[in-house]
Amino acid sequence: MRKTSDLLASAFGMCLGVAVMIGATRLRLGTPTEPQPGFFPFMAAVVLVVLCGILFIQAFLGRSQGAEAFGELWRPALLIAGLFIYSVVLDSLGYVIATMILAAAVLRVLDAKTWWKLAVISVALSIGTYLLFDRLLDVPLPAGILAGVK
Amino acid sequence: MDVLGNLGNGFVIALTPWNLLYGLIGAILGTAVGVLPGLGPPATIALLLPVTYKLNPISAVIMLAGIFYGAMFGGSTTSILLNIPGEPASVVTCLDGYKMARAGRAGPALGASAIGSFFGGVISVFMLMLIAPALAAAALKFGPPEYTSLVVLGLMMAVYLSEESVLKGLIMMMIGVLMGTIGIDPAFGAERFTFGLSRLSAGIDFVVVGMGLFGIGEVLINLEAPEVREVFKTSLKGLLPDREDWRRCWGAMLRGSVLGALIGVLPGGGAVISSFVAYALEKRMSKHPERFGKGAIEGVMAPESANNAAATSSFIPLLTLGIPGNLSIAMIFVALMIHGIRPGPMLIQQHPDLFWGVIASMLVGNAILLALNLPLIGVWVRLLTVPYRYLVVVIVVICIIGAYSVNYTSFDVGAMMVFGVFGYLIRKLRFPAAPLVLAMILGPILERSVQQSLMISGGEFMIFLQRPLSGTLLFLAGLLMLTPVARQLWKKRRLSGPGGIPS
Repeated sequence: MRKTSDLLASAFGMCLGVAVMIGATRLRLGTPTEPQPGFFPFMAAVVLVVLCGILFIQAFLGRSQGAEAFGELWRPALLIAGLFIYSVVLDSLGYVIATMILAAAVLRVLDAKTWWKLAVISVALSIGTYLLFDRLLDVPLPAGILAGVK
Repeated sequence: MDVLGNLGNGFVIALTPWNLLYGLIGAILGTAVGVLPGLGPPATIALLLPVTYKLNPISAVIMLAGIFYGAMFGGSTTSILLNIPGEPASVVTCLDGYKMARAGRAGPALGASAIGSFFGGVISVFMLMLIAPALAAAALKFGPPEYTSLVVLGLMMAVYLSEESVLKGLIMMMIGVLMGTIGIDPAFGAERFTFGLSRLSAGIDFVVVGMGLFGIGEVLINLEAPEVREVFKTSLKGLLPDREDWRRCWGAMLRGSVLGALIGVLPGGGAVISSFVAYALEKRMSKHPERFGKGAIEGVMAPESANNAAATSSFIPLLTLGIPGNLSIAMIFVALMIHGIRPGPMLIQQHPDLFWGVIASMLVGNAILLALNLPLIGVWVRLLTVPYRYLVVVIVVICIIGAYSVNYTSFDVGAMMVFGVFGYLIRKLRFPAAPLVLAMILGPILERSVQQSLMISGGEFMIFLQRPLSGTLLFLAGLLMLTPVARQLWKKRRLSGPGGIPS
């Protein structure tokens, strides 16, 4: 049986390798005695393409391992979406507010039982880590709209 | 004696109040990460890197090392009580530890693993103390070809030891090497693969990659199917193994410790592999191998002594050759580089305070950990009753802070998310992540030593095989890559041969 996941992965690897080879050629390759910046990446990319080629053939013949079955995808997908939004709004909203919302959302999705527990944990976690890292450990976190509150 | 004098100085450094405090923090955090499945030592060390920027390098390494070997102490707790390994090095401990707990002997199992870990750690520190200076002196004679081959061997070991196929490991390794070339090239100052983004000119940050792959990636995997776990309810009285237990397992402790200390020195070797080998050895040596898997205390003692011994001795290649053998050590490598210290054969001479201070702190740290894990084991067990959804939130927030604080940009939080998705996908497609991260760190070292070697030889690639030491190392690396192929051929022949079972 053909292993579609490995076919796709190895095809992606080969494309990546070829792209690096083109990019490395633009950086100039030089000779082994006098290598230019592109020399080492070019060689590495050649090896990558060869290895992916072998995997492609193995996958085509059904000799590779293939992928694990995917479980329920909506929970990971929601976390990814949440993190993406978080990274966009972090600077403007500030660490405390953004983290509070993200933590509450994650807890809600993961089925926290009571509303007050959810609220207490997300507020305590965001403010607690802010105080610990920003104030105590000198790791400045964005203040955002709470910049005036000290 | 010289060693004793140096060790004395080391203790003076390790026992200053601040260093004791950082050692204690490291030990506590390490035990906690070890106990809790879901966040491993490499991700935790990566997270704490930004916090160590403002410390002096000695305190930084003392704390980060404490996390690493602390996790070896803590990892057995979940193996014994839940049959879930807290981290990969405690997988084998499940076999007999959980059976012991089911038979009402959780106490002696936990006690044996803490005592074994302590003993293994101490043996290994002494080995580090005696071997490392000699090895560093020998390594000073290494030329670029030897370094090239050593790095190749280390990478091949990492590929070989990852649980997925060797071919997929090699592919991840090459992707890692290529990711390591992003940024300003070390020899010419030319920008490579930065796509004109100034953010990329310093290269991709290891912390962001590590948090994404090992922190977020792991969470995403666990979110697919919410796990149900149940702490095995048992009385934790009588933590010390009794006389009968000791008679059975003191040999296992000794053998496990020495074996672990030796395996840890190998490039790419480390805690995980040593625990498996120690368990197998103990089973083979036992007069009653049938007891293994049914609650034999030797089966807990041997791997737990070995994994902590190996964790400690895996500092040897870092401090003498400058080559990290596993991911946690790789993160400590990054920490040293951040502080402007280049790990390598000169380290012991140039920074004796760091070397001996860290060694002494390991002895102190192991004693602290024994105290944390024997009388206070109940506290850690309570930690296990925290539901996973709360852990998810904490891990996500910790990863966010870790990624953000590298360069103080929200861009890195987004980048971490991308690496998290990448880590999730490669896990699902059964590609190993460890070779990628190691190759990313070792790639620049490899590039420099390959180029220097080729300049020496006048562009002749045979130089790597002609120099005896370099040739031997490469031969070993090649052998490692060929073993799976050979095994497959052998299996096929046996199946098709007379008397074989047709598949």
